[in-house]
Amino acid sequence: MTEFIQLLWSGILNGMLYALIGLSLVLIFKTARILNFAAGTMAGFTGWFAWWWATKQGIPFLLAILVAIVMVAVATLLIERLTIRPLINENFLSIVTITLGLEFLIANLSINFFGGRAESLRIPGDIQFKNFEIGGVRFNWWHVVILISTFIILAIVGYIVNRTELGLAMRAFAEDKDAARLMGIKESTVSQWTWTLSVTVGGLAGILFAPVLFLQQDYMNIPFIKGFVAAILGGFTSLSGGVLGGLLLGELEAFAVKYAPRQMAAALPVIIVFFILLIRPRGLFTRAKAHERV
Amino acid sequence: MTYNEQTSPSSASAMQRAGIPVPGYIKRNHILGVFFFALTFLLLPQFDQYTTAIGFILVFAAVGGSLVLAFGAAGQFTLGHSIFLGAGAFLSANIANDSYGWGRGLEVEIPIALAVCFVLGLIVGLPSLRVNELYLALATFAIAYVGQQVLYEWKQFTAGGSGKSAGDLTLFGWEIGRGTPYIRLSLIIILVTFWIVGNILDGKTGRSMNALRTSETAARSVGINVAWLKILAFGISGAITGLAGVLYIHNLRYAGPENFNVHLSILLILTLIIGGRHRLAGAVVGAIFVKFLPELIRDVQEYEGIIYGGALIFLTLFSPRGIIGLIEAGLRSIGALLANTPVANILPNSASKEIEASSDGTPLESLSLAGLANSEKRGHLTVTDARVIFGGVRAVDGVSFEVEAGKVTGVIGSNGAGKTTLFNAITGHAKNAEGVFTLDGFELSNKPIFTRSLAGLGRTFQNLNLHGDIRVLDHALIGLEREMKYGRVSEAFRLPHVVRNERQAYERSAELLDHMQLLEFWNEKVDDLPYGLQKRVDVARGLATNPSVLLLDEPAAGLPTAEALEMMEHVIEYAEHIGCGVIVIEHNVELVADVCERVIVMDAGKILADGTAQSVMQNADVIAAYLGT
Repeated sequence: MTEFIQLLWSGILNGMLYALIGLSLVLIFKTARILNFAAGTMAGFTGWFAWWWATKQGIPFLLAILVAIVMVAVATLLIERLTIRPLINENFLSIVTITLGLEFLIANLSINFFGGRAESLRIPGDIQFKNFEIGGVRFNWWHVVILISTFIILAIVGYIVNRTELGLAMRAFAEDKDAARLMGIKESTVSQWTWTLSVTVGGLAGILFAPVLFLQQDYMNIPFIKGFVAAILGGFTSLSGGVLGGLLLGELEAFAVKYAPRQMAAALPVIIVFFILLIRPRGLFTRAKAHERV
Repeated sequence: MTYNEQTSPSSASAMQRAGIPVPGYIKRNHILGVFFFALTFLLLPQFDQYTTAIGFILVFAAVGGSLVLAFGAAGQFTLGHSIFLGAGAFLSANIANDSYGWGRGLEVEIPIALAVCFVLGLIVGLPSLRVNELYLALATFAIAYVGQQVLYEWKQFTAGGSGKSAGDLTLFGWEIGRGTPYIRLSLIIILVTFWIVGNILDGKTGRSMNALRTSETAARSVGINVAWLKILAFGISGAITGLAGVLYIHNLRYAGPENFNVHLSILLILTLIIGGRHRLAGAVVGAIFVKFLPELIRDVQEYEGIIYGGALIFLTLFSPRGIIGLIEAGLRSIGALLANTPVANILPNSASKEIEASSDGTPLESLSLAGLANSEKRGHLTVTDARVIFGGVRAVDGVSFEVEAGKVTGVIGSNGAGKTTLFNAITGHAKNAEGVFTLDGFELSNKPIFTRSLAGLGRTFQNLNLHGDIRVLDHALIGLEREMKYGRVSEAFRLPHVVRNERQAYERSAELLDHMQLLEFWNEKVDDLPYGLQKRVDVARGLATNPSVLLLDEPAAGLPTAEALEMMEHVIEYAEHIGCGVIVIEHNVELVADVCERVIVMDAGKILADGTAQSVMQNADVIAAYLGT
């Protein structure tokens, strides 16, 4: 039982990472039908950037996080304006290509800028090394911080999407682009804030998990792939689907490590997901789309 | 490349008048390709220190060539090609090290890599049947990811993390020297591969792939088996990439599973996007850009990602057709400067010219169209109890009628009466349609769209389902897909009967365009045409399929009545010529009364009236429901 809960807990933890990355991908996909291949690299960049402010510039931890997030958000506004907006009405492929280009560009920049050696993001009080126990199950203090922060992030995103005017505009765009335009919603505003929100969510994941994964030059690449899988699992158009998909994938992995043959453990979750998709190509948590109009 | 033997001596054929190049064996691109091949072949010893880099360019160019088919032509955005590269490489290594006792040497490695990766490609292509665009990218991405894990764990095949050495490099027992001799051999292999891919692109397979990329729905409606074609695109593309895998491991002399990661897949497709995905030359240019530039300028290596990324973003924003697109635009401008003409005049979309009329008779009397003349009437269509229900709406609610062979029938009714849905039920585009449909005794119900089309059901679309960036002439050729009787293997080697068949098809297409008064626009991309001409192209594509009955869905919508009438006259003239029936949905009552012998009026999913135009127009119900007083 103790072991079961321990596995469950580690699954939840990884699941949170995949859920946040998945959410970051779904946010953009849902409103703009764009797959952001640079999401992982951008998240990693934010993590490195926070480290750079905290360690190299010596400013306080929380302030470093804030500065990193704000600066990346501003950069995102700029990137969106220069590279995404001109192609906003082009086909799916053009913008995917742009994000692939951004991925290469930002990955290279972050190696040049941050050095590319493995580093660690120090947390005040070193709480990432401190554990406590409840009934034989070990918990790490930083993991608890991750859990709480993730809940806060999810709540804020949920609030923005469901309760604000911006969220309403985003949902309107997700539903029907042309109708939303006719109702006077400005596409550029929606696009730029969606991007910023998405990159911020990813960036927070990058920072939260930097102490867990350790900062390496491409430490967010694997989480990106997993977040991607989580988003597929959730159907790629449902925010809660993406989050649930992430948690499901995290648990699958945690239990695969324990119960699946060693050679299979790494690939098994992805294989399972692949077969799920063959049966339900549009994900587990979405309804089928209306058929094509001829 | 003279072409005289089949044209009528008395007058110029439609092709000659329009200046349409006759399909042959040798093209300008072949000469360019052989020239660059010879140049590289001869100058190779000068670049001794770069042989590995050149080897990689060739590998990337080969993969690029394979992607021109699957992605450039067929439009399947795949991120799974690292799998084929890995499979080809490890097959080659195992054979070269004689693990299987099949004998060693490239003469064994290449056919086996081609065959295995072809089958693997068919399997990897399976998801493309259910999903496209984003979801296909995701599915193939997942396959590439799982595939690499398989390579890691399948230790007998790949030696796991430690990797395999390439083994001896021999061809029919001859030892091939590393360095220049090996690169020369690769060059020859690539040259042959490109020739084959080029032939496939020029033939029916390439055309159907382009049709499928630009409109799957329309491709189905002209009788293209879209499902098989998609899988085939993956198969052929996979086979060629497998061949590139053989070259990959011999070039590197060693490879492990870590070489074939998802990032490689992405880089492969980016290479082609950078080069230009619509041309084989794009594959070469992209490969040189991605694999040689960093080699040439050593200092640049540190900024590789910035250069690739920057180039991608720049090209996507300013030249969606890649570097080749830039070069083509540049050459056109230079050509314009030399000829001292304004650029606009020589851009392809303004290339049309006035075409003198044929001196003797109408296009229908021209050689290949005259051969289609058919006094026997076809197109006996029966519809029994057709029903289509969307949620709670009965769009078509128990419609039955019978159309005699070779007649022109009109279907009218207010918007939402279920006219288009009825067409969709007959052609198979409406997935949940019930009812029994037969055409000339052939049962259509529950058959796939393309089978119904092959059975003689032609159609056009209300909201124009054309093949965007494809030439007008190719629309007619796409319609003629079923007339291309050659096999795909013959096509790959462009055997004489393939060329003969292509010539006939070109001739017939040109004459059909002539009849539809589209000949002068044959070289235009259909997107660049005005709406009225697009309508005609849609109809011409439908006629090209030589249907037994042609369903026209509002062919005249948005056209001035005079223009619409003129077009309908041409359509009906052609239909009578080939003995084909026509059913036309139209809101223009004047036009319907003019051309239709019989009119069916629909209202709320049911037939309201049915009879001669005259009787229907005077029917009180029809006047109340539709015509108004």
